[in-house]
Amino acid sequence: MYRYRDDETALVLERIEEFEDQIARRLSGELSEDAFKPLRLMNGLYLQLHAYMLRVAIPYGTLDTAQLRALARIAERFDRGYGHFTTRQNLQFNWIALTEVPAILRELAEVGLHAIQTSGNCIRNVTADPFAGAAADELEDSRPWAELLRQWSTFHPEFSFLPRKFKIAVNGAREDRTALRFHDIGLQWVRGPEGAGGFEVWVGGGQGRTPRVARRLRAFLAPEDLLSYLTAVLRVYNTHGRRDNLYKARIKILVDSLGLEAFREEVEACWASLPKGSLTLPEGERDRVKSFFPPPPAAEDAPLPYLGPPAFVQWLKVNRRAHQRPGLASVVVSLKPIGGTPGDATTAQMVGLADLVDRYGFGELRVSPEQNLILPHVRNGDLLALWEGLSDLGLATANHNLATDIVACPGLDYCNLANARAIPLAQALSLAIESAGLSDVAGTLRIKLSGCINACGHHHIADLGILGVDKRGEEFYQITLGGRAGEEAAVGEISGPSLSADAVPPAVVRVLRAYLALRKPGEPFAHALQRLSHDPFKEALYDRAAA
Amino acid sequence: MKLITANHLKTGRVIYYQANPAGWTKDPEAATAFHDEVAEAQLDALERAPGDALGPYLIPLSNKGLGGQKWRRESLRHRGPSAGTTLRLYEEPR
Repeated sequence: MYRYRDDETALVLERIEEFEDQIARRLSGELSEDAFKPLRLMNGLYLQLHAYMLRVAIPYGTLDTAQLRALARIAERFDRGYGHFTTRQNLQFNWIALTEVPAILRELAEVGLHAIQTSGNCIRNVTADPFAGAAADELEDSRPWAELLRQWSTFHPEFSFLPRKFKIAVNGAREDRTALRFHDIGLQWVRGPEGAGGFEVWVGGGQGRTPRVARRLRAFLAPEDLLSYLTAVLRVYNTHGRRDNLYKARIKILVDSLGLEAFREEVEACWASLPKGSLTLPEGERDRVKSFFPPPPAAEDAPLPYLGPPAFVQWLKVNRRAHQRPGLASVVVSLKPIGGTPGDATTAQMVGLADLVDRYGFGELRVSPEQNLILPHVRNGDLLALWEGLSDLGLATANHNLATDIVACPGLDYCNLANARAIPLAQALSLAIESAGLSDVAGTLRIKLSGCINACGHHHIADLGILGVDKRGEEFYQITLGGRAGEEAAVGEISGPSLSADAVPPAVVRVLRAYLALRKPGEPFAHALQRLSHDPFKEALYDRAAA
Repeated sequence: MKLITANHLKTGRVIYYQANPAGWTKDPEAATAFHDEVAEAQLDALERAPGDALGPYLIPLSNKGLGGQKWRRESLRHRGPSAGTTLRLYEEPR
């Protein structure tokens, strides 16, 4: 993991002092709320329905156990004994008092964490493959590149007041586990024409009110040009992006309005005008950052355990991912217990998990965009003991990427922007799918739920997306079908009229049953939709056969 | 009739305005219900001198309770989350 240099630690501490002073001036009345709001947002502090919410950046989703224990301590001392892991690989505390924020930030700084740029119109926490450095299909470790982008973008004076927020994803594996085509900029590691590695650059993706699949801006970018090229993209956006309309301010709207070719010409012209070499990434600096991410630990080439309790065997089948090193496995720790709250972990779970990760996981874990935690490196011989420990903590649910691995934003139970609740519906769905016996048999199937059009629950990129809407004070839910990230990225299509909360779980169960009845062996949900059209699934959703 | 609600500056918690004695309370039952025209004037005054109140605004009282069409949001603000870990932790003593 990356460790701050002394000057980087000093930078974070100076920022805390600065923000502490701003908080004091707000409390004394010297600063109005209008003046203070952008300052607190730049420090990740929101005002939600019930309290302040602090969003802590988990850098490209990478955590060590000291950091996880610090998050647990903060949850216990300053919050209500839990934290909420988000689809942006961050963690949110829901019950924070303004007066306690400086103390929290100091605790975070002690373990190399902060909340800087987790809000505001700036470059946010960089998304990276949560299996980076471990995945069997990896071409390049995305973490050093994400770290370089973090250092470049943190407090970048030119890009601290963009027209709107800006999200970058880096993927170094064959499979895209970052949803890079739904980021403002997506970077995919590829081999160039002469065999050297570099980035394919995608631009203008996003979810929210105007979902867009990103378009390919450049087929190959040499790694040393990463910062100069991204500077050009950001500069074009900063110059031409709309600031007069919040809903048209993202780069996806600019790419739409200019057209991809014109946008590309602007970027190339800007890039050519940058002083030669001024932003070229020196090899020495690339190597310095890469040195913080050594190869996975060596392990005895022990086979996978094939005997054990049935629940362990099932967990192994569902929650284990192939590792690039013999003798090791990656493991998904599901934060989606059946009927539970997606993404939440209690203090006891965080502390217990940190102990297990120290014992069996080489002290490292990740946060996934699916709101789960991942142990990237576990010896095959330790898997049973790890599972037993996870079971004791209530963290051994075997549902990674299954229909009960439901992603959900906090929704109207917490969020000031939401139109409808997400958590209770996610819980009801999880229970309905499990009690119908469909979670395992349906196989990989993504259900994602957002409480408003801002789409923090990523409903646009789900096989079955669910969007909460308010109709004259009543909660309704719009269902979308066929959304997905990855190479076949697509925005889900609205299926028809929205449903009441009570109607959603049985409707989803009917769709899953229709899928099981209609699919070819091994056929993913998205492919079944393409082959059969949406019609049979809509019939099931709206129970037209019974009508 | 309307109440005035806001969030508390230091804690962010939900508060309601009471006219006598003038101040803020966590209990909407203790809050003052104003006739619509008076409520607007009172809100103007509070916006000019908000003190410890963040973003004060009016919520109608209706037969569904607080908030009119926004009754669910206002009910959640008043009673807390309807589901989730907060609720579970408070139902199951730690």
